[in-house]
Amino acid sequence: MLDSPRLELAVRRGPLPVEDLRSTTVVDDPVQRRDLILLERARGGDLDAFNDLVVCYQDQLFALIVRMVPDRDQASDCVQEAFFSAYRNLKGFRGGSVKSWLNRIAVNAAMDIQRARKRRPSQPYPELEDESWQPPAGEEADPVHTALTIERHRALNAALATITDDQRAAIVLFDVEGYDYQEIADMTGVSLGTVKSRIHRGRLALRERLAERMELFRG
Amino acid sequence: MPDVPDVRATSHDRHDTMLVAALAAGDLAGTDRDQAIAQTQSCSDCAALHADLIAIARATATLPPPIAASGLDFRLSPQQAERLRRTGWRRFVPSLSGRSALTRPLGISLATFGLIGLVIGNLGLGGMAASAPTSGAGSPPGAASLPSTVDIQAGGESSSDGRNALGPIASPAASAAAAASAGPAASTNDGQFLHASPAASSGTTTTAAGASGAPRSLGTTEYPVPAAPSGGQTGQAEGQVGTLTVTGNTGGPSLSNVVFGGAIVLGLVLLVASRRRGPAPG
Repeated sequence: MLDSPRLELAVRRGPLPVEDLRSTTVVDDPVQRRDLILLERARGGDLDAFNDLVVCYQDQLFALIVRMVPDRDQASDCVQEAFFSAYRNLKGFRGGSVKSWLNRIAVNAAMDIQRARKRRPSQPYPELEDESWQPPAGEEADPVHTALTIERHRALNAALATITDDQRAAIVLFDVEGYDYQEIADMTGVSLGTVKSRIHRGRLALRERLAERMELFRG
Repeated sequence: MPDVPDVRATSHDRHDTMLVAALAAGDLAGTDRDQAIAQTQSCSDCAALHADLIAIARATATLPPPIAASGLDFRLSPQQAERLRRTGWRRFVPSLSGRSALTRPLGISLATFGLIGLVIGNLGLGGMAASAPTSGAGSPPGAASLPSTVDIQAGGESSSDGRNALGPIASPAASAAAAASAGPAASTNDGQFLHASPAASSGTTTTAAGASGAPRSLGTTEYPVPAAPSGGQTGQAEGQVGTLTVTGNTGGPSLSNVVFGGAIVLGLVLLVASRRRGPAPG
């Protein structure tokens, strides 16, 4: 439950706390503490501990990366490569959030895939939405609202698939994943101003592509 | 945007939409923010754009998780972990590859540079060795690049002072060029100089025959030298006793060879790394 993307989205915004793994500071966040313990054991050669981390984060990483690359296969490759890379570089972890560290590795893997895709163009993006997903039932769970929400998400996903890779990555990381500008700059290796610019331009591009369907988003 | 009047279109085209986007994202402060607010208040298109951008950002933030990774298992097997847990120089290959597009060209350049340098350097040395004059007491050209040089000193009646210095000759590991230069030096001497080029090239001990079992000295260390066969090789004088003295290791491979060799190795490693390159680590 603690790993729920919705909960993470709700609690995150603003810089994540950075703790030095080697310091004696007690980490308050139980998830973070669990991650650090698993990571420390993995650094000691415990493969099961590392695989526990994999199990904790594979769905979240896949959900992040699948928005950035054209298809599930590439997303799967990216996530697998990200975990390979993480395992290779366990000793390179310098403290802080394990989740951010894994996300950074996965985003870099996705960026590499994107660059490779530009050299070897492949099929266009497929539909990203999951038809099995339904909004949580509640007071807004009337059929009209549900249909509108699904349609809005479908249109937005389609528009997201048509903007540039850099803009899409920035928007997904900021709006969907909830990272702040500085974290995105660190992940993608560009300046903070570039991150802002990509987000602004990306939203303008989305608005242009959604011009005919903006009524779905208004009100 | 059905309520947007067309008459505004021309003036809106000159407006800075990035400013409106920054305002919608809440990234503006001070005069920029004031200017953007004034722009949205005076231009209905800018106002509509501002509202749309906020709506899009809000909708994007509520996008559901796209596709569950059900059925996908990214856990590492022990074999994969073992493969990833490289040792030695293999650990550095992925980091060398990085994400740079320059890895492969750099590797090719380094390897080429090293190869050409080695070839030119060694051809130059070989040429010098072949063309340099030789003498019995002189050092053969190119000796400085040899792993070690050895003085053969032969004692005996034929020696004027009992210790005929041959000068440094190549150790058994000497190059063919040095051996070739040492060969004529030995052949020009009339039996006083016991060394012949085959000794340098084949590794057989340069001997003064007749002193069977007589200890020789190598530097300060004496060691037994096998007895030379009776009627030894051409140029060997029976009854002479020689001393073998290491005059010093003159430094091993030259610096240029080390540099060029290192460039080749580094270039090859980069080439290998560029071939192994997958998505880069964070």
